[in-house]
Amino acid sequence: MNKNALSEFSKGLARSYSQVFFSENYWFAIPLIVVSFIDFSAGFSGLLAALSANIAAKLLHFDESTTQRGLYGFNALLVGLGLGYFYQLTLAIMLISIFAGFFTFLLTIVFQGVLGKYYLPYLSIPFVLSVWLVLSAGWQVSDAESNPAGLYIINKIFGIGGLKLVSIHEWWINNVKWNYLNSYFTSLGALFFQLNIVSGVLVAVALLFYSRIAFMLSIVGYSVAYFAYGAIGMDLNLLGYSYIGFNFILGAIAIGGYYYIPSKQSFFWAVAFTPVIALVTAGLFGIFKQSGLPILSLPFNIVLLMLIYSFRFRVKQSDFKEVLVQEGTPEKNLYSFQSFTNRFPNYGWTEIKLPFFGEWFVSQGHNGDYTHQGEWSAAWDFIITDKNQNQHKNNGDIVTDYYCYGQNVIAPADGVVTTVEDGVDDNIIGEVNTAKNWGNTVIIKHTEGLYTKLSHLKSGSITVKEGDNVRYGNVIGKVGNSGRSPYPHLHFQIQTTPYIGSKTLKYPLFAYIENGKHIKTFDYPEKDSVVGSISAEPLLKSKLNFKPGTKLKWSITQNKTKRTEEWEIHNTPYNKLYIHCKATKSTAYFINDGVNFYFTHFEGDKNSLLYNFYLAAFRLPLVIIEGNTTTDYLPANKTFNGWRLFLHDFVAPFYIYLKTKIEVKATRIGSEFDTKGFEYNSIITGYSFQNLVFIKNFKLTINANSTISLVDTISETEAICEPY
Amino acid sequence: MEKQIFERPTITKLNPGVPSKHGVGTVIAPMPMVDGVKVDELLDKFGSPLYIISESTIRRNMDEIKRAFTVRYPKVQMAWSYKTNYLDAVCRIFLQEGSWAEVVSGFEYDKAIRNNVKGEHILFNGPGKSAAELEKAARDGAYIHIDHFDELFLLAGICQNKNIEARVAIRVNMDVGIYPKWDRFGFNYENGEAWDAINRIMANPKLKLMGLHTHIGTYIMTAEAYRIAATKLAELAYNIGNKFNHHISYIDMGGGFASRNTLRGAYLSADDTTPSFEEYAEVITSAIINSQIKPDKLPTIILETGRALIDDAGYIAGTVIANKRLSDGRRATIIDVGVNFLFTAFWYDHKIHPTIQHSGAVEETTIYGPLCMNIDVIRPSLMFPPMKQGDRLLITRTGAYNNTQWMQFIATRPNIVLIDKDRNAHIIRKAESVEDVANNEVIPKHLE
Repeated sequence: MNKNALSEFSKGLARSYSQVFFSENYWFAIPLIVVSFIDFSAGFSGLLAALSANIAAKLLHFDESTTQRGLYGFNALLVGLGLGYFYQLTLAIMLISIFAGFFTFLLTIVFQGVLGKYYLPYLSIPFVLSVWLVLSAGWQVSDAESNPAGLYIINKIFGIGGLKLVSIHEWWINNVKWNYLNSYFTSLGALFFQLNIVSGVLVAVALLFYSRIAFMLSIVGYSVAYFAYGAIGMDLNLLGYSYIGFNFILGAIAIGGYYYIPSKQSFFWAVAFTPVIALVTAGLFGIFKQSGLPILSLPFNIVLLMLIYSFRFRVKQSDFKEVLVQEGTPEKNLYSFQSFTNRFPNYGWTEIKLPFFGEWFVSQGHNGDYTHQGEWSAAWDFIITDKNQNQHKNNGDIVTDYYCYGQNVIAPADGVVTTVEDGVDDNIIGEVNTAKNWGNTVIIKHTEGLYTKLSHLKSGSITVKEGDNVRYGNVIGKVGNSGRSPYPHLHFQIQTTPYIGSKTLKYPLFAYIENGKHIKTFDYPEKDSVVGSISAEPLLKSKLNFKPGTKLKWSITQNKTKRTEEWEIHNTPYNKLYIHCKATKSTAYFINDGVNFYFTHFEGDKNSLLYNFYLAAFRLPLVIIEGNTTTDYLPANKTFNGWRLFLHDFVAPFYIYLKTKIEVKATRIGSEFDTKGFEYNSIITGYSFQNLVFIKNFKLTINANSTISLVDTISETEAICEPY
Repeated sequence: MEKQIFERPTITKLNPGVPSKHGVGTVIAPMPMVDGVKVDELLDKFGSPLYIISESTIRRNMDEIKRAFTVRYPKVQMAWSYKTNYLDAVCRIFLQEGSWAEVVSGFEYDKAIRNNVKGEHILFNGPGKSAAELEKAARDGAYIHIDHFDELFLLAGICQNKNIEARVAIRVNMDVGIYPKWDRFGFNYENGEAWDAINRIMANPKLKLMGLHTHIGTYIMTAEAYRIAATKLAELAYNIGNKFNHHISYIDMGGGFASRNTLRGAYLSADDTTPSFEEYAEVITSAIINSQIKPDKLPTIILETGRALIDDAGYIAGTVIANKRLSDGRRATIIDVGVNFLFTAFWYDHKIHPTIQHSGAVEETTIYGPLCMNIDVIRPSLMFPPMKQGDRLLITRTGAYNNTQWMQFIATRPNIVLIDKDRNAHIIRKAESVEDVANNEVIPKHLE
C-alpha cells in the first residue's frame, strides 16, 4: 500500500468514529478514539471491527469516496464497541469483532441499497441488528465473559490522564451532584459504550469544537427529554444507564442540524420530535423486555427515518428544509444554504427569456388591472412606447400606427410548438373579440409541465406549425391585434398545460435588463417598466468559461518576492466545475450562466491565491453597464474566522450578524469594438452588526490576450496568470 | 369680434364636376408655431430671417430610428453625420442620444473632438484625408474608413514609420440596382477590388480591420437597395471570417435614408413615397440576420443617417419683402430667404406655410429670394395664398445641409435658435456681422 492509499485508508477509519456524530471531520475523530479506549476492551474490539469493515470495503472495491467518508465503518465500529463492552476482551471476542465488523459492513451495504432507493440514510440500523445478533450469539462462545470494566473506572482514567485526571474525576463525583448534568455526560459517553462522566465531558468538548450548533442541539434534545421524563415522573437514570439518552441527543442533532438546515424551524422540530422519540422508546422497551435485547439507538433511527420520509410529502415547503448537498457540519450546511438560496433561488430552473428583441414596455404585469386576474394573473402584456410614453404614432386609429404592431415575436426558450391557432382577424382599435379570446396564439413546450403562450398575434404571420422544434430567438410570428385585444400588444404567459385558455403559472424570466440599468435574473418584469433582452460581452463569456483540463499558471509578486501557484479546472461526476490548487489543497466551485460568473463554494487554505480569486470573482457580471455596481454577499464562514465565527455559530441558525458584502464595478479597457479587456474592481467589506471588521480590495483584469491579473490593493500583491 | 385681415383678391379658375387627378385643390395650412413657440415672436426677438431647430424633433427621430432597428437587431450604433449639420448644439444633442460622430474632413474631426466625442467613437470617412489627419485619427483610436489604395498605402506608411496601429474599415461600393451607381467612393465589390484591399489590410499587422462600410447613395427612395447592400457586405464579412478567422466588429450601412422633403420634379409627395425607418430597418437587419454569419459573431450595425434625422427638425422663418406680377401674369413673391441660406431649395420643393390664418384661396405663385441673382428661386411654382409685404412665413424641413452648405453671399448669416423641450429658445449661432466675415481679410500695405 503506498503512502497516499494509506492516508486515505486512515481517513476512512478515523471518520468511522466522527460519523457517529454525522461528521466527516477527522480531527474530531481523535478525541473520540481516545474516549473509546477509556474502556480498552470496548475500544480495541471497536477498532478491530472498524478496521475489518474498512479493509473489506477497500479490498472488495466498494466506492472509494463512501469508504473515505467513514460511511462503511461507523456501524461496524459501534458493533465492535458494544462487543468489547459487553464481553471481556479475549482472543475469541477479538475474532468475533473482526467477523462482526465484516458482517455489519455487509449489512450496511444491504441497508444502503434498500433505504437508498427512497433516498433515506441507513443511520445505525445495521449496528442495532448486528449487535442483537452477536449478543444473542455471544452466549454460545465458550470463553466469553462479561466485561467488568465498568467497575474499574478509576484504573482506566488513571491509564489515560494519570493522577491528575483521577483527582478531577474524584472531585466531580463528590461535588457535582447535579443529576441533569451527569446524566447528560453519561449519555454522550454511552454513545461509545463508555458509561462514565470523563468520556462524556471529553465527547462534549470535542463536539463543541466540531460544531457549535450540534453541541447546542445535543443539549436541547437531552434537556427536553430530561425534563419531559421528570414531568411525568419517570426514572431519570433510565436515560443514562440503559443507553437511551443518546437517542435524544442524536435525534436533535440529526433533525435540528444535520439532515435539515439549522434554523428556528429545525430547532422547533428537534424539540417537537423529542417526545415522539420518548414515546417510541417507551414502546420498544415494552416490546423488547422479554427478549432482553437492548434497544440502543433504535428509537432515534425509526423516528428519524419516518420524519425524513414523511416530510418529503409536504405539498408546500416551509422553512424547514432538508439538506440537499451534505457538507459535513451543520454550520457549513447552514452558511452554504443561506448563501446559495439567497444567491440562486432558482438554480436549475428553465431559462425562459423575453419573447422579443429590443426594449419593450410592460403595459400589464402580474395581477394587472385589466385582464390578468384570478387564474390568469401571472401574465404579461408588452407594447413598445416612444420617449413620451406613447405607444403609437399619429392618432392611433389604425393598428399600423402602433409601434409594436408587426414586430417579430420570438421563441422565449428552446422547445417544441404544441399548439397553433391562426386565422383570427385583427380587431379595429378599441374593439375586442371575446369569442376568440386569445386570438392567434402559439404555445411552446419547453419541458414537462412548462409551456409558454404567445397571444394576439397578427393573422397569417405565424411561421411555425405544431410539432416544430424551435430554438430561443427563432421568429414564430408577428405582433397583431387579434382576440381580446383592444390595441396591438403581445400577451405572454407561462403555463403548465398545452391548451389555449389554461391558467397561468408564476414562473420567473431568466435574464433581462430593466429600464436600461438593472440586470435582472430570474425575476418578474413589472408593470410600467421597460425591459429588454441582454447579451453578455463575448470576451468575458469566453475568457471566464474555464473548461475542464485547463491549467492556470500564476506568478505572484509580494514584497518583491516571487512565487507561483498552479490551478487546474476539473468537474465532478455531477458536472459541477471547480478550480483546484494542488499545492494549497484548495478548491473553488464556479458557475458561468451567461449573465454572471459566480463562485459558489470554497474549501481549503485561506492564504492561497485561489481564495483571493474566489473573493475577487465571487460574482462577476458578464453584461457590462458602465457605472453599474453589482452587489452580493459572501458566506460568513468563508470570510470570518476565529472567535468571531465561533460565537456567531451559536446564533447563526436564528440570526446572521456577520455579513460580508462584495461590490463589483466593471470597466472596459479599450473601446467597444476593440476591447483589450475588462477590469473588475471588487470591494469586500465584512461587518459584525453595523461595525466594519475588515475590508479587502481586489482589481481583477480579464485581458483579451487570455491573461488574467489579480491585484490585492491592500496587501499589494500582484498575481498574473499566463495565457490559458 | 376680431378684426378681419385684409387679403388681396385672387382669381382662381373654377373647376366644376368631379375633381381632376390633382384632387380638389391645395390647402395651405398656416403654421403659427414651432414646438409651441410663436414664430412671429421669435422673428420679433431674433430678427428675420431666422433658422429654427426643434430639439424634441431631433430626439423623437432618434428614438424612432433606434426603436426601428433595436427591436429587430441586437447591436445597433448610430453615428451622427457631421456634414449634414455640424452646429455644436445639434451635435451635442445627438451625442446625448448616444450617437457617435461620422466625419469626412479634418475640420469635422476637430469639431467632433471639440464636442467631447471620444476618438474611438469617431468614424473618419471621405476621400481626402491628409497624412497629418490620418496619423491623429490613428493615435486617437478612431475608425478610419479607407477610400482608395493611395490612402491605404499612405496610412500603412504612417503606421510603419511612427510605429502606431490604426483601426480601419474599407468603404465598399457596389451595384445595388439603383441609379446613379456611386462607384467613385471606396473599393468596388463586384470587380474584386474590395478583396484586394482586405487582403492587404489583413496582411499588415499595423492595420486592424474593424468593419466594412458602404454608402450606396443619397435620398434612396427604395429600401430594397439596402437589402442588396447589406447582403453583399454580410457575405463579405462572413468570407473574411472564413478566410482569416477574423470577425469584423461592424457593418456600417452609411446614410442615404430619404427625408420627407419632396424632390424637385417628383410627381408624388415624399410623404407618400419615402420609406419609413421601419422599412429600412426590416431589410437591413433581416439581410444580416439571414446571412451565413453565426449568431454570436453578428456585427454591430452602424448607421450614419443624417438627413432623415434632422431635416424635419429645421425651419427657416422669413418675411415677405414684396409682391410683383411677372410678364406672363404669374404672381411672384420676394422673401428675405435666399438660396444662400436655403441651399436645399435647389433639390427640394420645400413646403412653405404662412404664419397667420388666411382665407383659403390660393393662386399660383413663384417665390424668389432677395439675392440679385437669377438662380435665387425658392419655389418656381406653387399654389400659395396671397401674401402682403411684411407677412411672415415658415419654410419647413430645412434641417439638413443648410447650415453646412450655406453660402456667405452678399449678406451675413442670421441667427439660429434651438427650441428645447420646455419651449425655451436658445441662440445656438449668433448672426454674423461684417467683422465676422471681414476680419480674416488682410489688406496689403500698398492698398491701405
